[in-house]
Amino acid sequence: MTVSRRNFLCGSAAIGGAILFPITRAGAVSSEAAATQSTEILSWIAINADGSITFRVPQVELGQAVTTTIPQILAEELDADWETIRVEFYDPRQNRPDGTPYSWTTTLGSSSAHYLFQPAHIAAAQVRDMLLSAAATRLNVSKDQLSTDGNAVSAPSGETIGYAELAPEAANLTHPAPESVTFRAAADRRFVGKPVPRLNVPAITTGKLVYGIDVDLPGMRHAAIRQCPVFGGSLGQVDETPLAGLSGNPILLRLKGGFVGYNSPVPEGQDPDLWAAPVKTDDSVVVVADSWWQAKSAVESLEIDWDTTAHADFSTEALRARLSKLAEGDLPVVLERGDTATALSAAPQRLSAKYVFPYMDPAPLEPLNCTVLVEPGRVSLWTGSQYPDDAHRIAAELTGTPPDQVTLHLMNCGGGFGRGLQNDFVHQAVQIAMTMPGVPVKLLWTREECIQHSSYAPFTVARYEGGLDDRGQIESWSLNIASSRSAEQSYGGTSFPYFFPNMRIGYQRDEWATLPFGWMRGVGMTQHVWMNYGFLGELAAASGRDQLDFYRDLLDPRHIPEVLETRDIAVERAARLRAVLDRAAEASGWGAPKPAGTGRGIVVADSAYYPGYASSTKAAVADVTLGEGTVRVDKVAITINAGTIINPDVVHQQLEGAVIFALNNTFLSEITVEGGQVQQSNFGDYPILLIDRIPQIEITILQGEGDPLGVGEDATPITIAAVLNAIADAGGPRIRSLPVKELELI
Amino acid sequence: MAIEFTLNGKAVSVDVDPDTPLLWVIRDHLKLKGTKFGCGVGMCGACTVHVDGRAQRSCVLPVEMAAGMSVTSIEGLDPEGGHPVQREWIEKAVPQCGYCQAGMIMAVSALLAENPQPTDEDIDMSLTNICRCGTYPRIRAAIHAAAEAMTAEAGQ
Repeated sequence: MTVSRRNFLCGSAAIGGAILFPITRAGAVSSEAAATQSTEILSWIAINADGSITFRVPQVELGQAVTTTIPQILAEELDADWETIRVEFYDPRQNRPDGTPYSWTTTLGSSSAHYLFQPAHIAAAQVRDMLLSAAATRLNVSKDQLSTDGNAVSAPSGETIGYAELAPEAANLTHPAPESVTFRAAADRRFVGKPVPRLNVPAITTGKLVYGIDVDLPGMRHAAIRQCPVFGGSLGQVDETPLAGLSGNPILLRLKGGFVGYNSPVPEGQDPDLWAAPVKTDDSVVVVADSWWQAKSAVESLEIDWDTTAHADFSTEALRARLSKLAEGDLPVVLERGDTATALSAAPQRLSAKYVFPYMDPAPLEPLNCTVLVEPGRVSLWTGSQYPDDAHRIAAELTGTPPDQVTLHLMNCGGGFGRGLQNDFVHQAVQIAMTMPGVPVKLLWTREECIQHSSYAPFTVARYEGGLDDRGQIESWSLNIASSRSAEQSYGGTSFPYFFPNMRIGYQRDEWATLPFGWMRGVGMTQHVWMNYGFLGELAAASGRDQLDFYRDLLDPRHIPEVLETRDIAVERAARLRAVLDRAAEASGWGAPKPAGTGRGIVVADSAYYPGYASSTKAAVADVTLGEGTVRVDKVAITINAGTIINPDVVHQQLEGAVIFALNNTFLSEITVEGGQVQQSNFGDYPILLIDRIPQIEITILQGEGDPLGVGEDATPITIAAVLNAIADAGGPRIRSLPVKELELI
Repeated sequence: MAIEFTLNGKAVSVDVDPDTPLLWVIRDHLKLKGTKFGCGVGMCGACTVHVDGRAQRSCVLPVEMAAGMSVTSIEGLDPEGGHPVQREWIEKAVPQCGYCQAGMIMAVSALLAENPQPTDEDIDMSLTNICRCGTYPRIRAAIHAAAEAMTAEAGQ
């Protein structure tokens, strides 16, 4: 199908005082073109000549179901016939150079539904309004007498005109202001809020869904890569002679490592360090051959000298010691209330503990890949990047091609979990293709390269000190966070929703470690929520109080300082957290007697990275049974308020997946480094849970309102915390370092 | 030297290094992309196909070992998606990213051919494919539903 692409002019309108929604204005369509082509009315929607409707989804599909949920929003306000819809990915060129018609195209921070709901909902209502206006002119009736159904506009006379027929006229109309269009009442919704079956599932079950790895072009060659085994090392000599005898016409390339870009968008004028982390590649050796198996066999047969001396002393053991020492010292203060040092020294009861989070690899199942074709004056690339606008930028900049001559075909992706935000593999693929103009080439990493050259959740050491008064109330809370290189994630400490009279949080990132930072599901919350709740659990136990009562009391607004600038926000937040906590406790029958050897943990959290950040609120209740050196997770129950729900079954899926992701983090995931080199290489030493150790998972979605809020990541941090508190509750050890080594998961 | 086998009921002949894994022959030479590459060491199961009816990890099976045998990939299980396992995968909305699911479906269909009514323990023992999205609870439910459907259909 061809969709005509025209120049986009950008306008914007403020909605509800909160969201800026840049819209595009379509140009004229010639009548010849309209007879056979699609008519794009806004960049979100094209009405096809055959009566079907194409929806463009401005994010990659990683399993979060955007290729169903975004069409649900669009179909709702367009009053589209679901049976006629087609879905395609957006073209990043639409986001440049004239603005961002989609508002947000990066898959990060569980933001798809949250950021895209308003723009999609408004765009579809605008398109419907324009179709109605076109029909009103034709029929010479007023717009409010018309109705829509089945991709057509109907008049009271019974006359109907199909959207396809009206589209060319509608496209020439001025866009109506968002305030002037009619939205469907929430009670009358046909798609939003319904468990609409995911559109791509039939294709998945027959093996027909096309992922990046499946791209196959005429004359395509295949590239396999070996990157310097030590981050920050450099390439010495490579002996090419073994290639001479190999099949597949292998050729050898040497890629120089360097800066690629940032791993998430940085708003103009902002400090990149607050929003993102730099992405770099290392020196590498590539073999391009007729088939990937030939390329991989060839690159693995090479003897390569790497100069790794500069970083060969780096190990995670040394890093643990280094960060532990840092955390025991004075770190730059990011939050301070009261006089923590004095309060601690005066406390009748004082506890301290050190918590450790290791490096982890998000490890999506589809190995990283990107296909690129460089031709004179233009570039095409195919990839399932989570940050496609930057993949597009990289291709344009590296090749010196005008951005409008760079076509990025966004592909379905076999999982992301944050890894795909780093476009290192795109940068490499473009460089490879530049050496062979006119020949498409697909770079595919092995699993070993994926694990050993990932972008890792940061190694983090947190040192806590807490003081209890005579009544068992927490008087002082001191936290020092020392992490390996990372984006700014001090919110892991500062966003913990509890207030104590004396608080001090220090935060420092250490640049010594060479492993690159990457976003991983749950981001900073995954490192910190379990630590915060672990130490809070230690204090609760020392005060002899039940977890639930302890948290409920802490969420009383009397604890929130009167002088707090954002006190209103904090009060509202505490009420929201308490409501969800209470519902979770009720749903789980909290307080019922437990058999010996079993334990329960309950936690509540949100992802309010800063005061006022719109986040879902959710609680986890975990049940565990301890055995001789073993633990079984019997059940994890998640209760969530995520605002308006677009698709409840998708929310269930995301939460189920996030619970299981958390169990991997809790019991299995750990990247270690010796001699500067990652020690794990495949699923044998970086295992992923199989079906045999999965608990019962129960999901309760609370009635919510307002914009949809994030769900993809949110069950991960709280599940880790609830399971570890349940282990302690059962009489097991207090876990202070992940993954759990004290007990074997059965 | 040409290696011959049957893929999805059709005779095929490929001229490749005999140690090329069956996975890459299916994907890159025979151009069927439903069978996926996940680990390359036979651990994750994304590459599972049937060889003479049994589930095999095709990423570690040299194509010469498949010579003369009958290979079925996801495309050949039921091209219309009508196999009870595929139907229940849709009914229970199992997939998320979907990348492992072709291998899962091939592993499960082979399991059910051997053991038409697997218990939860049987499933735990025999299904060793990785799903990174964590669709396991739905996979288990779909296996039981498919087992019931197949038993009901066999009884008719």
